[in-house]
Amino acid sequence: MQLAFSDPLALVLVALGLATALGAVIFVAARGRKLADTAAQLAYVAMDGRPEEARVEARQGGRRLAPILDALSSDPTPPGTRPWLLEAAAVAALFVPPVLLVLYGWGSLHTAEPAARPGAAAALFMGLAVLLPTTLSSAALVVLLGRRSARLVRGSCVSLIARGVRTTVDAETAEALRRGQGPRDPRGE
Amino acid sequence: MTGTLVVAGLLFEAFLLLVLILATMLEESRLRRFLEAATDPERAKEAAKKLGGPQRSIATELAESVRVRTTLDEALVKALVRAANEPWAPPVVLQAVLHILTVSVALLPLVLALVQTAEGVANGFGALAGRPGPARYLAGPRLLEGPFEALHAAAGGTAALLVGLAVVWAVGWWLRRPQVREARFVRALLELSTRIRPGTPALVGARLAELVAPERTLARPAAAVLVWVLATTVSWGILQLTAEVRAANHHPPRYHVWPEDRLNPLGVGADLVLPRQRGGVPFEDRALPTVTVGPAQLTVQGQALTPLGQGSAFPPPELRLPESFKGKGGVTIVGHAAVSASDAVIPTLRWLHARAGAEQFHLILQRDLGYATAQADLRLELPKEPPAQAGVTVQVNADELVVGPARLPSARSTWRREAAEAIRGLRHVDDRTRPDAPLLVRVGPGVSYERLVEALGALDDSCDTAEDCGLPGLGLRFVLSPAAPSP
Repeated sequence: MQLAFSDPLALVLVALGLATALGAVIFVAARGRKLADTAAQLAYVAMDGRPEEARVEARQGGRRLAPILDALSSDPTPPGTRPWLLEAAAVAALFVPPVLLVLYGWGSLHTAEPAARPGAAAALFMGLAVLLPTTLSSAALVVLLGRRSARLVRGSCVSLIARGVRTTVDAETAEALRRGQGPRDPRGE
Repeated sequence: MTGTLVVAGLLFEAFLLLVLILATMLEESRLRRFLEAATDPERAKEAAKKLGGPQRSIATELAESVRVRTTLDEALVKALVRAANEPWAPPVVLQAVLHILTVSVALLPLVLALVQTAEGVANGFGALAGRPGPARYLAGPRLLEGPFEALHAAAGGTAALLVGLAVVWAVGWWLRRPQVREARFVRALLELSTRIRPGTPALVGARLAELVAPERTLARPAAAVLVWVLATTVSWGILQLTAEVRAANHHPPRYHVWPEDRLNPLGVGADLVLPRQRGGVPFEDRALPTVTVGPAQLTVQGQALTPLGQGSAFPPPELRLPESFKGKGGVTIVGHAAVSASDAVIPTLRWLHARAGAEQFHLILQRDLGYATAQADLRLELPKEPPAQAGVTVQVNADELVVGPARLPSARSTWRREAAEAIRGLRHVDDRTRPDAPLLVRVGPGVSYERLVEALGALDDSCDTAEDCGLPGLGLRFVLSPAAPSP
C-alpha cells in the first residue's frame, strides 16, 4: 500500500485535484451569492423609483448582470438566462487534475523503469480512486450552485419585468383611451 | 461484492426515481384538489391552507386579496412575482448532500475496485521482489488478473449506475426543476383566478405569466444528447488509441519488457544463423570471451582456430586456446543453427572446460518478440563436480525429449506445452521457497544445435501462448551431464 503513495508528483496532482474541487465549489458559491445579492439590490433600487441608477450599475456589472439590464429595459421580454460560462469554466477546471494524473500515469507506465512501473500504476489507481468521486461531486455541486444563483437572479428579473409589464399595459391602456378604444371588457363578448 | 453494490445502487436510484414521480403526482393531486375546492374566495383560502410549502402562503395570500376586493390583476401579479422568487427546491445543503450521495453511490464500485487494484499491484509486486526476474514475469500477469477483472466488472457496474443516475437526473429535470414546478403552480393560480373571478380581466398578470413561462423547446435535451454522443465517441476513441488491453483488442499477449539496450548486443556474421527459439533471458554483456561454432569453423575471440567437420575428433587434441583467453567467468557461445550439438558444440564446451576451466556457457539464440528480434541467453553449466541437488534429468534426443518420467516425441504437436508443464510441475518454478535445483542435461547422438536449443528453450519458455509473448524465460539452470567415460 505504501507503494501507492510513493510517487510524489502523483500525490501533488491528487492534492491539486482536491484543492481545485474545494476551490471551485467555494468560488462558484461565493460568486453566485454575490451575484444574487447584487441582482436583488438592483431590483430594489429600480423598484424604489431609481431605474436609471439600477441600469447604470447593471451596465457596469458586465455580462453577468445582462439579464437584469434586459429586465430594466422599457420593452418587457422573458427573463434572460445568466451566462453559464463561469460554471462551465469551473467544471472544466475541475477535470484538469484528473486528466493530468491520467496523462502522467499513462506516461509513467510507458517510460519509467520496469521496477518503478508498479508504483506508477498503484499511484494512478489510488489517485483516480480519490479524484473521481471528488471531481464528479464537485462538478455536480458547481452546477447546483450555478442553477440556484441563476434562479435567484431570475426572481429579481421577474420582479422588474412585472413592473415593466404594468407600465407597458398602463401606457397601452392610456393610448387606447386616448384613441377612444378603451380596453375591451370580455364580459361583453 | 461489486454485484451487491451495483444492485444496491440501482435500487437506490429506483427509489429516487419513485420519489420524484410520487412527489410530482402528489403535488399535481394537491393542486387539483385545491382547484376543485376553490369555488369562491372564501373556500379558496381554506383550500389553499391544505397546500404544501411555498404554495400555501402564495395561494392563501391571493385568495385573501381577492376576498377583500383587491384588484384581481394586482393580486395575481404579486402572486406570480412571489412564485418566481421561490427556490422551488429543497434547502441547498440537502440538495448538496443528495448530489454527493448519488454520485458516491454510482462511483462506489469503481472506487473500491481501484483501491483494491492499487493494493493488489503494490502488495503483489512487493511480494514478487524476492523472486528471480523470469519467475516475476511469469507470476506477474497471474497476480494482476484477479484485480483487473474485478476492476473491469466494477467499471461496468459503475457505467450502469451512471446511466441510472442520468435517467434520475433527466426525470428530475423534466418533472421537478424549479421552472416546471413554478409553471405548474402558476397554471393553477391562473385557473383559480378564472374560477373565483370569472370574466375579470387581468391584463398585466396574463402577460407576465406568458413572459415567465418556461421555454418548451427541445433545444436543451437535444444539446445534452449531442454532448453525450460526443463525449462517448471521444472516450471510445481515446480508449482505442491508448488501451493495450488484450481482452479488448483480441490480440495474444505481448509484453514489451525486453530491455531496449539489450535487443541485439552481439554482432553475428552474415553466414551464421542463430537458432530461432523461445526462452532465454536478456544477454548481459559482461565482456565475456566469445566462442563461435560454425558454420564452417571454430572461432575464439574472433580468431579462427580450426575448421568444423574435418577429422574424427573435434576439437582436435592438438588445438590450443589463445593465451589471452579467460574462460572462468563464463563463455558466450554463438552457435550456427545447423551444426551438430552432439559432435561440435558439446565437445567444444567440454574442451573449453578442460583447457580454460570454463564452467558457465551462455548459449545465444534469436527470439522473435513480435515487435522486434532479440538475442537471448540460455545458460548451460559444466561444473567440476556434478551437482548434488540435481533431481530432474533432461535427455535431448533428435526425435524426442525426456523430462523426468515424461517422454515427449517431437512429432507430437503439443510437446512444447507438455514440456513446459512437466518442468513447472516437477520444479514448482513459481514457488520461490523451493531450492533452485539445476536440471541435468544429457544430449543424445545426432542432435543438432538448433534441436538442443529448441529443447532447452521449450523448457525455459515462460509464455503460455502459441506465439512468443516477449517474456524472458524462466532462467532455469541447465547443467551438462559429465561425459561418459571412454570405453
